[in-house]
Amino acid sequence: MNEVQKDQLLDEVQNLWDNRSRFVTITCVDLVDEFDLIYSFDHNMELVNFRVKADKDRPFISISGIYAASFLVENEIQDQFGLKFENLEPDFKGFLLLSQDGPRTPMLRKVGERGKQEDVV
Amino acid sequence: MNLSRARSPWVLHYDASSCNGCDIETVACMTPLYDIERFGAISIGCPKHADILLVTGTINHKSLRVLRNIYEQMTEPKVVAAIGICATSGGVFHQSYNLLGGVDKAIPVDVYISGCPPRPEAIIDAIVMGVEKLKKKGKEGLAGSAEASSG
Amino acid sequence: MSFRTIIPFGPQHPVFPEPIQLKLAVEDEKVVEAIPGLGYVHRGLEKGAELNDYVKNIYLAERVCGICSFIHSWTYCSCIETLLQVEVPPRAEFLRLVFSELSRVHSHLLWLGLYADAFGFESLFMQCWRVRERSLDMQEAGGGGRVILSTCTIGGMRKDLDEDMRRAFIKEVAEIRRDFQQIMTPFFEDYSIKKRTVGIGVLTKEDAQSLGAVGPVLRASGVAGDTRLLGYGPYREVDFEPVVEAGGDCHSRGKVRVREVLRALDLITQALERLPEGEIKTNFRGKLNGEVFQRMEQPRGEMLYYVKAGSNRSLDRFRIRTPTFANIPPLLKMLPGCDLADVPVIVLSIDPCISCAER
Repeated sequence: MNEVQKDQLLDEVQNLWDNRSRFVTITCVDLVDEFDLIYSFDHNMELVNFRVKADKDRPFISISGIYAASFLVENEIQDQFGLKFENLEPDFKGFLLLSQDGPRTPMLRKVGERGKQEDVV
Repeated sequence: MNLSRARSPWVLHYDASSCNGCDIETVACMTPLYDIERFGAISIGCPKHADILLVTGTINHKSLRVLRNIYEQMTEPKVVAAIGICATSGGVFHQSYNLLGGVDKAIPVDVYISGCPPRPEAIIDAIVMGVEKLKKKGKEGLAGSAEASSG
Repeated sequence: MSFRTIIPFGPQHPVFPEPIQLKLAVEDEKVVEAIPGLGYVHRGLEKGAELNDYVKNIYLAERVCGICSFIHSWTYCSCIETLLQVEVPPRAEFLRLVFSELSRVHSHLLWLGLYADAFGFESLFMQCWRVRERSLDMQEAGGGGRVILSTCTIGGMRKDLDEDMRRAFIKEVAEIRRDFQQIMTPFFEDYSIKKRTVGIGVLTKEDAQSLGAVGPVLRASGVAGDTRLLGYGPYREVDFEPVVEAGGDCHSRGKVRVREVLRALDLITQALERLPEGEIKTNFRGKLNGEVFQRMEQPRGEMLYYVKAGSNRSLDRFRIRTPTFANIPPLLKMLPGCDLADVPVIVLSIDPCISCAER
């Protein structure tokens, strides 16, 4: 899987838009120190994936200006991981799926959450 | 009045956060093969009309408020049936972060039906048991109001 | 002079079996904007799966959605099989095709019923669900459960079809086809249905592609996009061609699904007739390693699983992108400009499966 730098992301996505690829999804993986964002597109039935690293404490770039459909999944990542996106429209402020009185950023890794499983080697 | 209520219980279905398995089985009860209209029950969409509330799925933080709203809008006497193992205790999703547990964490439940998903026969059984409860509650309600008016 | 009102549509609404909220901005009777309110069925299943042993997750994956549960378990098992490098015996692959197409039949019949109910055609709703019961009986006979089968497992299938059952299945499929053909004409020709659906909720071909529509919604807009064309599993060995309609409106989406029921029945017959002999399960051992993307076609469209292996027997990340999640942006595009009374039909026309979308 290719890795794309953060400042080249919009160019890369624009290229995909120009060759009429279909937006599939963004997958966020918590690597403890940083986030791994995997962008998936469909170009003529072929899955095009690439990886972008994102800092945990800095807002990331939204691609919803190019692919409007990405707002849902970006809001979902904002909910689950607390990674903010700039220029996100509409922005649910972290309450797309979660409720005001529920847990926040539940998908972040916590140390020792797997309990017993981590003790078994 | 009490008799006619028991002969024609109106059923309201709410999906609190289930996987759809119980929902489609609940809807399947209303279709020709299982046909709960044999018991006079029809499915309606308005909580104010309903006698029996069928809840499928566990409660999450968002549906809690909706479910309480629906329950409060229903007129007395009313019966709540928890359909499926998720509605009784949380089921396979018990580890997930957004769940509170069974329906009884939110509102009082009268009938519990287990199964993942329960078979339509079991859901019909829940409705029939609900009707019995409804009769009982109706009588108690009637006695209560008679006492109130005489006293 | 019209002024704008916001009407909350849902979460508890007679038309939907599941809760979804749409905040509709309305001017007089015309919808101008729609904002979704999700989260009423959000369980946090992806996190739940990370805490489990990977074998246990089959049961969790099946319960992402009760309607297309078999295809969920197939996709999950195929992800794990790729990570473990397990070969699945051909007989098991064909059986998986049979059950996944059966779940497509029952899901589409379910939807056609609800759709008929949405525009007030109650007898058609009952008829569709009557035919659907036959497919559930087949699932129960072959898999053990009416809705959630739990018959797909890592390395193959749990239950085999014997020869009598195979013949009975072929006969039953023919009967379902006959029954369905008796009730399907209204979806194409009925005057009232056309009145309610033709030209309603139009999604152009360009919009469908740029907003990432999948499944019948995409195919009803004239794009032959179907993940089954990738030829995963035994799909490369059977004759298959996606169903495409050009209209892009609710009527076309209905027609696509009606024709897909027939196509799915045809696929089941093909698979049963060519069912290879042999084992149905291979044993597996080893360690999960690496990451994998797997796409499969659900009744509602393309579904994507991402599985990243973790230490021990757990997963580092388990991500599901379900078809309804992809079809919500196109839905928000269809709604503006329609009448308020048409909203239930348009929302149903994407076949919303909220428990899939929110997991």
